[in-house]
Amino acid sequence: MADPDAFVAFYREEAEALLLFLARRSFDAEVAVELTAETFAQAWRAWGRVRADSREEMRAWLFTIARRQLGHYLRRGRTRRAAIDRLGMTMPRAHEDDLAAIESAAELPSTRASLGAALEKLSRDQRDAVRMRVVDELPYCELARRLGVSEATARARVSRGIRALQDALQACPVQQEAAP
Amino acid sequence: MTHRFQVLDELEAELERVAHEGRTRRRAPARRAAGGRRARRLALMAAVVLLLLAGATLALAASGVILTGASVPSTPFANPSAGAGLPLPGQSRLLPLRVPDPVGGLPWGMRVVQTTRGLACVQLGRVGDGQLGELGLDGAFADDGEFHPVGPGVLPSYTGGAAGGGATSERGSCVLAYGDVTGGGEAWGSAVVAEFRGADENAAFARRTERVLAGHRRQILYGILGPHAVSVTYRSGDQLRVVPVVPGVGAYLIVLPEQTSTERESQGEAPGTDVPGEGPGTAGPLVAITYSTRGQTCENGSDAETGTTVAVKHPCPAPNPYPPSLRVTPPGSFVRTPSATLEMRGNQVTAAIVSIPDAPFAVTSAAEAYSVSTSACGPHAEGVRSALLDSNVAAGATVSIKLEYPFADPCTRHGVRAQVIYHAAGPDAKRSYGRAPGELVVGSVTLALPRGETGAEPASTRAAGSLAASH
Repeated sequence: MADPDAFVAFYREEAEALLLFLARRSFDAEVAVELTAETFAQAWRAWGRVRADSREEMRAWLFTIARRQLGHYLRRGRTRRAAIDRLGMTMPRAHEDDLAAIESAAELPSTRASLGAALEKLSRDQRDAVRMRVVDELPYCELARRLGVSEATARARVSRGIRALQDALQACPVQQEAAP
Repeated sequence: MTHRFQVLDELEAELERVAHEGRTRRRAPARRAAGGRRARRLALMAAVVLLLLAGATLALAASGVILTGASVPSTPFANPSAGAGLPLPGQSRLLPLRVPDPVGGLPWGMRVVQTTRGLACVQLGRVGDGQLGELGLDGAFADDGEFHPVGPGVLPSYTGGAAGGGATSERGSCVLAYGDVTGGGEAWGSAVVAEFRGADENAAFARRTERVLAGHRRQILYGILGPHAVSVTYRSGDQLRVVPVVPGVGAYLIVLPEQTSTERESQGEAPGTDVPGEGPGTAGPLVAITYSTRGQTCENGSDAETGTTVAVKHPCPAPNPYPPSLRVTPPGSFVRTPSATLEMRGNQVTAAIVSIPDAPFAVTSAAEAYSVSTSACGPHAEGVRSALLDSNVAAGATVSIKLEYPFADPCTRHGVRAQVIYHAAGPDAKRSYGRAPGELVVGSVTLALPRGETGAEPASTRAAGSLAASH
């Protein structure tokens, strides 16, 4: 039988780390709060069926649920509240001060600055290619026409530009947390 | 209050409430129906069966044996005359490459398939019992732990077109090829060097999920380099390693543990070539390609990203400039007068349909295509739009190509010139003045914005504009 007290204790231990984990990946404190709530709501619904031998395994399980929520949000551009709704939970509303504190704790301003700096470090060709593809959403054939290169070269520039940004973010200290 | 952030305290209170409410409800269950005990027995039996099946799968996997599940479905909506086309019957060859996975299990392999549109498509996967396939892990195939063969009807998606040189996508790449490729033919049109980063160990490239963990990701380098290639050299830590390619097709496959913690698959490609010395060629950890030509061995160390040449011991001689057939072709009998009609949404022009009544050249493979593109205007070369008809066309047939949002940029509002271009790759290609090799301008037409109408913009441009305006 699911033990609510054990679950609440688990929440107390993991909630903050999970919230910051999600904030650093969604770049949005408010979204991170929603994802945290849905993750714990799903965790409670499965709580009675979880079999884990260690605290690490429990953490890994929780963060797997969170990654799934995050992936859904990144793909669809919106969070989901399936478990929150099923449980009849009222979603708490974060105040402005709280959101600012979460952003600060997650070091989002410096991460955004790192991303901006990494973008500046790209060659002009790569930066243009990434901007046209990611921001303007141009098809590769048109992107190639604008850059005056073959489509294959345009693809290579976009791919390498995005990878350089990924590498820059991974080199950023806030991304080197010990997430399970 | 136990948390730094007030919202977590509020969330805790809410979770505590629903958790205890749930317990209360469970402690006062409704009276069980008469069939409840029987239902529990059935559920128990089902659970035992599932456990036995799961145990069998795990035991088989541990012993190196794996169950074979359903095949990967064939590519939907495939058309023999458009895009990559369909696989030619009997023209599929699983190459003799068997590359161990960094953590064990079934080896990785590569298949080359020739298609109805003259492409050679390379496909990657795990190899079990002489078949290419994917594994039911990390969210693929509901984590059934089984091996799922990739049948001959499954192709990588292809978004290239004539002279594109190839396109990397999920599961592999397609490149232009001339002659019999899978049988070891030596007439090649283009080549590719490519890599996946963060690829999932299940080889189900098209079904990435957010559940992939750090140790389950791979970096995969692969390519097909044509009949002159001998080996590739890649960097692994501080060492350079040399790997021979499969003779004839010049294929190589390298599977490494992923060095970064990236959570998403990403892929890149470099326009390779089967002509020794013609770059750019290498990409990522791949630092050199060794060719054998005219009895001599040489290396192509061109960096695909920068176009610069990496120092190699025996550089391949630079290839000849464009062959005579690629010199500028003066306008002649192939010139046509295109017409254009506009598509409207309210008083906004959303697209132009540019047509030529009789195609001067047939399109019979992915090595040829018709496209429409508009000229640049404005201080930052805005206004360029293009669209490709990536399907077969009979000589003399009407060609109609839809160009979306031709008047999206302000500098196009006074009219914009659109050119219909015939693309062709290969030894008999032609070109027009000011165009890339293989691009022949068939005709041009001015697209005029009717008085009182405006040009529609793509949704993404509008969103970016409003975002910029709000800051």
